Amino acid sequence: MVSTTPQTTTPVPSAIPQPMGERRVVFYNLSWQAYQQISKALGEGRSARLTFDRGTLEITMPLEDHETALRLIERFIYILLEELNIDVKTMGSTTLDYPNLNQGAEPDNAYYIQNQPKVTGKKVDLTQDPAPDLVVEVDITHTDINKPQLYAAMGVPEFWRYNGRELRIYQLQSQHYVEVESSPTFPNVPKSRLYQFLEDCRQSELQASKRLRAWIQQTF
Amino acid sequence: MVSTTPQTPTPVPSAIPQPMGERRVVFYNLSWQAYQQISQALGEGRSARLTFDDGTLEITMPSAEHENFGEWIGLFIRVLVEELGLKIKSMGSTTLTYPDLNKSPEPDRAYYIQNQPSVTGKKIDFAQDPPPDLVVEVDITHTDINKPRLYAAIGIPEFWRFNGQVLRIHHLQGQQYAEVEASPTFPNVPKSRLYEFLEQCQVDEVGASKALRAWVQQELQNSELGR
Repeated sequence: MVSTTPQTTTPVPSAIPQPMGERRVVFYNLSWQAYQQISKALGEGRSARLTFDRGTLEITMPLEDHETALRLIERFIYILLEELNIDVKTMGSTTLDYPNLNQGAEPDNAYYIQNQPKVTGKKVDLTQDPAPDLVVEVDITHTDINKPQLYAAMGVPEFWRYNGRELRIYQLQSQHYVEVESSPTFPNVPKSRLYQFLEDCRQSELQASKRLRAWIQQTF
Repeated sequence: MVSTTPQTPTPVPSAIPQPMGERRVVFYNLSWQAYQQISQALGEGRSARLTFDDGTLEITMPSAEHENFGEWIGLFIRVLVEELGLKIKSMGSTTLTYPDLNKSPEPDRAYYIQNQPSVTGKKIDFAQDPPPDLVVEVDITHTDINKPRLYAAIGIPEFWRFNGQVLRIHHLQGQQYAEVEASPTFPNVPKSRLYEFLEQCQVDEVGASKALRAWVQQELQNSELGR
C-alpha cells in the first residue's frame, strides 16, 4: 500500500562537483545573421561572452575564479605599462566582429599597445583599423572553439591564454601562432613574475602591486 | 635570463572538463521579443533547451546522463499508460509558449493523458487548448528558474522533477503545487518502482520494460483479488 502523506524529502547528496571557471553552451551551424540576431537580442552590458567561429557559437558565463584571474592579469599588464611608460588603448571585451572571416569574438581583454597611436581618441573600426595588439583569454574549462586559430585568423599579433594554472603566450608569425616563452610586448618579464604576482595577490593585492612595481624599477 | 627561441609546445595540460549534469547559462531582463529572436536564431532541432520565465532566459545543454534519465522516465510512463489502458499524447520537448504569462518553457517531456481526447489528432494551440497533464523535468544541477512556480502558473496538473537520484511529484491544488508521495495519474505506483526501473535500464532497457509490465499485471491481479 502506498503512503499518501508527503515524507521528508531526502536532501540531494553533494556528489556533483562545484562548477569552476566558466559555464558554456555551444550551438553549431548558425549563420552570421543568426549570431548577430542573438547578440543583439542579448543586448549590451552582460557578463556572458559570445564567441562565433564559422558557424559555431559558444556562449560563456565567467564564474568567480575566471573573473578574479582575469582582473589580476589585467592589473599585472597595467602596472607593467605604467611603470614602463607605455601607452595603451583598452578594448575590454568589445566585440571583435569579422564578417568576412565569419568569425566574431568577445575576448576577456584586448589592448592596443604598439598600435595605440593609430586608434587613440576614436572609435575602432575593424574594417579599417588593425586588430588589437594583445588579446587575453582565461579558459579554465575546456572550450570547443579553437581560440589560437580564431585570433590568428583575425591577425592579433599576441595572444595570452591562462588556464588557471599556466600562461601560454602566442606570437603571430606569418599568419600562424608560435608559442613563445616570454611576451614580445614585455620581453624581459618572465612568466614566473606573473605567477608570483598572482600568488602574492592571494595574500594582499596591495603588497603584490607594490612588490611588482619595485621589481620593475629594479630590473629596468 | 629568458629564452627567446620558440620551444616545442608542451601538450596543454587538459583544461578542467565540463561538469556532469547540465550546462546552463542564464540571461536576465530580456523582453519576450528578444527571447523570440534568440529562439528563432538558434533554430529547431537543437539539443539545448530554452526556458523563458518572465524576463529570465536559461539555456540548458543536457548531458548524456540527463538525456538518459529523461528517456527512461518517458519509457516508464509509456509502459504504465499502456498496461493500465490509458491514453497518451506525447509532446516531447515542445516549447510550451504562453506569451500572456511571459513564460515559455521547453520541458524534457510533456504529455496529455487525462486530456488526451481533447487534443488527439490535432496541432496544439496553447492559446486555446488545455496545458499538458504531466510535465517531466530532469534537473541534476541547480537552475535559477523556479520551475514549480513556472509550471503551476501555466496550470500543469502534475509536475515530476528528477535530480538524478530523487523524484519529486508536484500536484496542482488550486493555483499551487503540493508535493505528493504518489502520482495522481498512477496512484498505486510507488516511487521506488521508478527507481528500480531506472536502475534496471542502466543495464537492460528491454528487460526493465518487461519486468515493469509484469509487475503492473501482477498489481492489477492483486487488486482484483482485493489484496
